[in-house]
Amino acid sequence: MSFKRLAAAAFIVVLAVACNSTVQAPAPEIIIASDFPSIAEAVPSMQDAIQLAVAENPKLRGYRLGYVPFDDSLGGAPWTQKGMQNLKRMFADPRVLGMVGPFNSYVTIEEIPRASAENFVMLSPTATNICLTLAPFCDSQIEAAHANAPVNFFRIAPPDPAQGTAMAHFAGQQHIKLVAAIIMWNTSTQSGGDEYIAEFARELRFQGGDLVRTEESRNPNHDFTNFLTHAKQAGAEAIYAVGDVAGGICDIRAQMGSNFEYLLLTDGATTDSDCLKSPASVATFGTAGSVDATLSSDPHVKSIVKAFQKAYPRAPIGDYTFAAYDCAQILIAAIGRAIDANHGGVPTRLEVLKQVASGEFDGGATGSYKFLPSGDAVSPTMSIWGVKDNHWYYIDKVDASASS
Amino acid sequence: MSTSSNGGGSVRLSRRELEVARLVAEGLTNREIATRLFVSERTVDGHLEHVREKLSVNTRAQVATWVTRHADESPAAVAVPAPPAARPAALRRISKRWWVTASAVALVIVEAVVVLQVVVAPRGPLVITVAGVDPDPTGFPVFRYTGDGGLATHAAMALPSDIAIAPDGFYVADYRNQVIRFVDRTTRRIKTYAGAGGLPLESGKVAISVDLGFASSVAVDRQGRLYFLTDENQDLQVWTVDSGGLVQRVTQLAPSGNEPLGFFPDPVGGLAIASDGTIYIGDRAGNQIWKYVPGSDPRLFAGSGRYGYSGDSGPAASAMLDSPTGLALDEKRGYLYFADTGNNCIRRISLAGDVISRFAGTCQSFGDAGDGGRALDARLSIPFGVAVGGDGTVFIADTGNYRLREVEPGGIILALAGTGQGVFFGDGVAASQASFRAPTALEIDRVTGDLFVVDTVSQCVRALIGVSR
Repeated sequence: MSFKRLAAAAFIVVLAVACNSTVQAPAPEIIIASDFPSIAEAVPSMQDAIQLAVAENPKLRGYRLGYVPFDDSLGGAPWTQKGMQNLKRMFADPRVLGMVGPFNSYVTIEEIPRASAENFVMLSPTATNICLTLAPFCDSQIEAAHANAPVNFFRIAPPDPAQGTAMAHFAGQQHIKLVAAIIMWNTSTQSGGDEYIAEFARELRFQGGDLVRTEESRNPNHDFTNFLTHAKQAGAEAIYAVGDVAGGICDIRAQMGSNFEYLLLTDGATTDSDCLKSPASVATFGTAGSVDATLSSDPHVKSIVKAFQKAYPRAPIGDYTFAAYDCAQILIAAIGRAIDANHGGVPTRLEVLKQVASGEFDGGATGSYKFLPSGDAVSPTMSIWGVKDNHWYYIDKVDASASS
Repeated sequence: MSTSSNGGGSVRLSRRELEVARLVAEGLTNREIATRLFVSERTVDGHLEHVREKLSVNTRAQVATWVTRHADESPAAVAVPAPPAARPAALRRISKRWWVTASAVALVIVEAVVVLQVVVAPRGPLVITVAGVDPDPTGFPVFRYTGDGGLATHAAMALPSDIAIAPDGFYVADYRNQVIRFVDRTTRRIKTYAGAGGLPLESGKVAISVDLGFASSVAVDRQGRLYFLTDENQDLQVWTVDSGGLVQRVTQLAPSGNEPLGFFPDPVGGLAIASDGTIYIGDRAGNQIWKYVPGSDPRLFAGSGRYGYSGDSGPAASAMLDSPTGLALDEKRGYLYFADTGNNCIRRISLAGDVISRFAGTCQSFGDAGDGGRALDARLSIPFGVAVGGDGTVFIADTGNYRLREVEPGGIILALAGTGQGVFFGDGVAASQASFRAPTALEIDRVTGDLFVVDTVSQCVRALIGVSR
């Protein structure tokens, strides 16, 4: 065989091998995980956002970084035991140094003790139940878990009652002074209305205002005229309604007439557009537990949003997409710092946890974060929305931390 | 629809007609069929009349014969084209060698069809829905509480978690609605039996007027009296409803850290009652099982309290469990079986010596494997429920795999029901074709031998007809 033929044959063989084999990416050396229910509409874009954060840090201090999403749903519903099973899988792989999630509070509360025992850090963009971090208030389970193990659960999502704080900040900006509050949840699983009101009242007083009346209503007829009369007599210019549509939020709005200037709502009402069609003359505002990064004018935030849209042009951006991105970036930054502290070696899970607990993390899409000893963010942020032409519109990001 | 050939013609039986025909073949009377299918006797008469007309037969025996011959035919088998009536002249000239080749090919095709039949043909008992209707069977669970006074199959429940069968009907823990409902065996109508009121749960109060809290588990004693396990400020409590319809507290355990929170809390635990009145209580969050003999304090029966897996062949009280939920007694052979949910396995404890042992699953790994082999080597995933048949067969709700499995008395595990897809499908089809969104609690109806399955995310109770021997 001539040299030319031999070379041609060799070229064909090489070409064939190249065409037939898929290039295997080298296995990651450090992994971050997530634990979300695939059934939730918000989840795919959250997973995309975490993937983007990982893609922006393909090598972390020289280590290949990877992302493994877990699904804690079963038959179309999030299940605690599935989440616990996922945790076992994460614990079994020493490369997994932390996770973003869980998504739901009731899954989180069961996972915290297990993960705490493994010094495994969890960073949630969505779990808002107050009992996940402020254990002495409500739950011996979480308190017991942290008796001999560090606080391992951190969240950038503000705890539910912080909606009261956020709304009081906004009320202060609007120069609203006297407010009457009503709890009107009509579901046995919703609780904590008192805490919303307490946080609202505390912060309102810092803003120079006062809560002039509070009532709790489980009124199936949704007739709030008595409450409104008493509120007016007490001098209220605004009503703060903690509740949902089933509890009568839409009806109280219609019944307020021109006796009040403002109706301030929680996130139980901000998703219902039918509410807005009923005739009402009050200026209506509501809190939402997330921050819409796509509406930011900050060039840095805009660049993050643009990068996401470029990487995932067809992915719908949800309420928690960039909160998930920020959690992933916090976790990645903490791992990087833990590697540095470990003189370049792969850190332990506890070392990563300590970096999350003690670090400051600037430049997120939804804010800059550091954490309280409880695991809550020092300065969690929320959104304020208003009603205009029967539609909700975004007003601004607002600090949900309490004044002191 | 089931299609089958009958003589020279094609027969199409509706799903319900096929169910009735199969139950006729099992030798059931129309009244028994009506009870099984939760329809009226008149409806069964109507279906059977249609079956006779369609099959052109007159007697029940002929219907049974037809079922034996045809009812299990798969669509694939029916679809095999019939040979032509006469060989065309041109074919007669084809060589003998061609015929040998063609015959071999045909044989391979026939064998493939047979294999396909074995693999994909409907197998197992019929699955029917006996209570609950999901308003959105494919979407995120929507919670409703409707249907009292009507047929149970038209009622809406919210994430039911357990079932207990009494002589006159069955009780369902309608967990998310925080009530217990009852379905009458004869009328098949549903009513709320306990809960739905706002009064504090205190002895002597009318069952319908109290707030049950999260009552996840139900059981009945020999007399058919209802017991339920609930959570009150993290204390596990067992209550009963007396013959006057009043709730009475039976016993209480120390707090174990259970924290029902939010949308879908895990079940509080499990409950089983022996014929002598002894009550076994699974404390999921406390990773323990307790034994309560009436008149004494509850005593620890299994579990050190720390989650994990250890202790097989030793004293049950020293073993580590992980989230024990479903319990089932086999008094005849002297065991308490329980779903060691977090360990992905089924374990059992000897009632005489309190010794714990692994029964199905490895307890150290999870997955979906092992059918046809030793149950001890199989892989399960988050099993929530277990039940024991009269012959010692153990039925398992392999929740994380969306399947039901059974372990024969010889220790071999087999697939019983479910395709492995976590969706609701198959009301009135064979068990191998049905699918479950989350099968959890199991209970056997000792009267009929039917196996009841709580399909939690589908928000209904389903039954596998005539499973238990």
